[in-house]
Amino acid sequence: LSDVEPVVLVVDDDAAVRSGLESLLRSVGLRARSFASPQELLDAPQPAGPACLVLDIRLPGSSGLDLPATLAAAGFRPLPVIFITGYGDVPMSVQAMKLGAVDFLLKPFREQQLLDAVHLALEADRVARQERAELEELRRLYATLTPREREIMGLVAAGRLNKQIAADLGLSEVTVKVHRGQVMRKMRAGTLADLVKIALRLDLSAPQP
Amino acid sequence: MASAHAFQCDHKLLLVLMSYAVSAIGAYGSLLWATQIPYARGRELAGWLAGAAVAMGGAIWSMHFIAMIACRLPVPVAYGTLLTFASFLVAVVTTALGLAIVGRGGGRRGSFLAGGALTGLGVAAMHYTSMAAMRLPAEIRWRPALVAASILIAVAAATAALWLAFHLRFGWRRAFGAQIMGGAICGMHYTGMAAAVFTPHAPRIHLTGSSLLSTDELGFGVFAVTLGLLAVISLGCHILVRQREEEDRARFFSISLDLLCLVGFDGTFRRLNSAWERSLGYSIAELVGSSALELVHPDDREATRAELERLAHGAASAAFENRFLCKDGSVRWLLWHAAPDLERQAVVANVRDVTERLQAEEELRRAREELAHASRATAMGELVASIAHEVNQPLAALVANGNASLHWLALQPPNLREAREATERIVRDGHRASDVVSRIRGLFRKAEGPKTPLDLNEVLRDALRLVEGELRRRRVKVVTDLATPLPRGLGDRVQLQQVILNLVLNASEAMQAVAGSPRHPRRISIRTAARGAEGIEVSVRDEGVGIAPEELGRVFDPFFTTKPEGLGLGLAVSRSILESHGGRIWVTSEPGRGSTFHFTLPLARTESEARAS
Repeated sequence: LSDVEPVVLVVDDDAAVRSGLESLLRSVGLRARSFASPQELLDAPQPAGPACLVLDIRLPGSSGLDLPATLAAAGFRPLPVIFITGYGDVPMSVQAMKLGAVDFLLKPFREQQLLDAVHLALEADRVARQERAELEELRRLYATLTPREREIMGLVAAGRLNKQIAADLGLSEVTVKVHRGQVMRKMRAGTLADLVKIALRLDLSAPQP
Repeated sequence: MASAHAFQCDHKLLLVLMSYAVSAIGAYGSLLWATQIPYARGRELAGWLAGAAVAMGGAIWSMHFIAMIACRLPVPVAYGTLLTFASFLVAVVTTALGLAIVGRGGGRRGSFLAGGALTGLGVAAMHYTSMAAMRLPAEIRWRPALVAASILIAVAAATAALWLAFHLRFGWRRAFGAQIMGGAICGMHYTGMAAAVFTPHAPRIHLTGSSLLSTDELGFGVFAVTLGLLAVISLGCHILVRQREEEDRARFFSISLDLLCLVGFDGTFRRLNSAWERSLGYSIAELVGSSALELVHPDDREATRAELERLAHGAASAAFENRFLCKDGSVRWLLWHAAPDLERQAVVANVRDVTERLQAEEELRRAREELAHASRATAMGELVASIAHEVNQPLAALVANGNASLHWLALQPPNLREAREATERIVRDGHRASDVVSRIRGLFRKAEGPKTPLDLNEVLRDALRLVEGELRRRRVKVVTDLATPLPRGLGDRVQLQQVILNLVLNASEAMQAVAGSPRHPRRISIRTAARGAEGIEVSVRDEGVGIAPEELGRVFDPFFTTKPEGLGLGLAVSRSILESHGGRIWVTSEPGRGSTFHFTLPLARTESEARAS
């Protein structure tokens, strides 16, 4: 999964700006792809690895500020965004930051500003991707549990003792222990603390009675 | 009984003239009074009616009576007092009724006919009643035809008289109407007299009861009394009218929104209307007798005093403005229009409080200024933003390429190919930035750059090379149809390239909404052609969405744009460039099929032409 190289997606209607940015990013060892319009980006395949967007606010067809929403509506996975603009004012930058932008840069920008922002954005996306991947894995593991095991996992995570669980479910304590051991093995949890954390991430805080 | 000859009236001229005079004067008097009848109600109406009726009826009666005395008969004649008086009443009452009907009829034709018939019959009744009052040693026989004629004349004359009373009420018309009425009354009477044939019998007169002997003296007496009566009535009317006018003036004075006053030349208020109370806050009692000058704002006091002086020394009128101090300490602007009354050593003035108007004008002026400033600021802001964008775009590319170039060179080993490419882009970006700057200069100063003879085909091909990559990326194909040989045009290469780039990029943007496919790519067609004296024409055609007819006229306006994020400057700049070249730019469009932008450039004169001139 993480062996895919990170990529920077540049959307700017100005060809000179695009080629300059592409060259700059490549010269520091980053992969870059550029698009003249939001439509071109939407038409392209989604990046497989970590990615971020460098968006010009003035774009043909729509405002760059609207693009994140457009991408989400088109089923694009959320990506960190760095806005760039030829001129900017306070309301525009406030709006950009409210949209969760990593940074808002005025052209012409210092390369360090851009590269820092790009690295920050890629790292954020990498972490987000990893978290999503881990969560996927946990969900997959959780799906292998039997209904009884899911029940017992919920109760264990809620802090019930084996004895109490046995009473709750009308089982023998030994049976509960066996199920519990299965849960720990299937969920790859080494300790009770691990299992509680997993339950929290899977949002099992409200176990069914 | 010795049969005597039948006889008729033998009229005495002096008295006949007097009878006419009395009827005309009476008519005049009644017209004076009748003036007010249409406007009056209630007791007011009764008063005016009574005045008009007494004047008219009295005049008719005394005309008749004087005319009777003018009638010389070979026998002595006397008149029964009672019937004579009754005939007077008949005249007055019927005239009053006639006037009332017409006066309340609002000038309708029917009311004149009804009122005229009534009055006419009344006058006839008066005439024959009065005849019946005659006591003389003779019998009267009537000629029916003339009697009928006299009654008809009476009705017609009365109708005419009433019509005149309501149509010739004012000025010289009144005198004219009075003459006509007098003549009509006389006509009726003398016709009536012609109808009477007297046959004498026993020369005995029974002077039973009271009766008046018909003598010239009696005629003169009646004439004098009637004139006196008419004079009194006219005077009364005059006084009444004056009184009403004075009441009106008092009312005007009190309801006037303007400030009216009488001020002595020394500045003392003598009389003021209540508008002053509303404006200044002082009561009339406080103001009368006080000095107007003391209430004038100290800065305006001298000027105001000077105006009063001018009026005191014979100026016919004065118009000036000054400020007054109100009771609450505020200041009000007053506009004076004044005329002097030298006999009373005072000024009559109509003063208007223009404070609110001045304030409104001041606010309007301020609002206008703010608006103008706001729109200037907005336009400047827009311009600055768009210039910033235009300039920063190549600068951003330049900086990025410069940084990239440094990185490529810093690699071990350095990547010279990439570094060279980045450096080449730097050069291009630098040129583009400078083009933008000259374009902006062109926009602001319309500065004439150096114009040289040039081959537009070549300029066009150079410009297209600059956007080749961009067009490929946008999947737009350019088809050219260039006339060769093409006469040379005169122009600024950079500016013309700017125009061409603008048109080509606009064309490609216009087609972004149109789906292109490898088989049917989006296509821009560019043509050049010689157009004789007009010079060279270049046209750039796209197959895009076209321009709505209502927007065709505005596409060259600054800040007009159809692109959501467009600046609306490209075409405005293009037009200013072409105008400074002596060429022109225009657009034709078929909505849905595409647009074609055309421009012309004047020809460069050949060297032989230049030498010839």
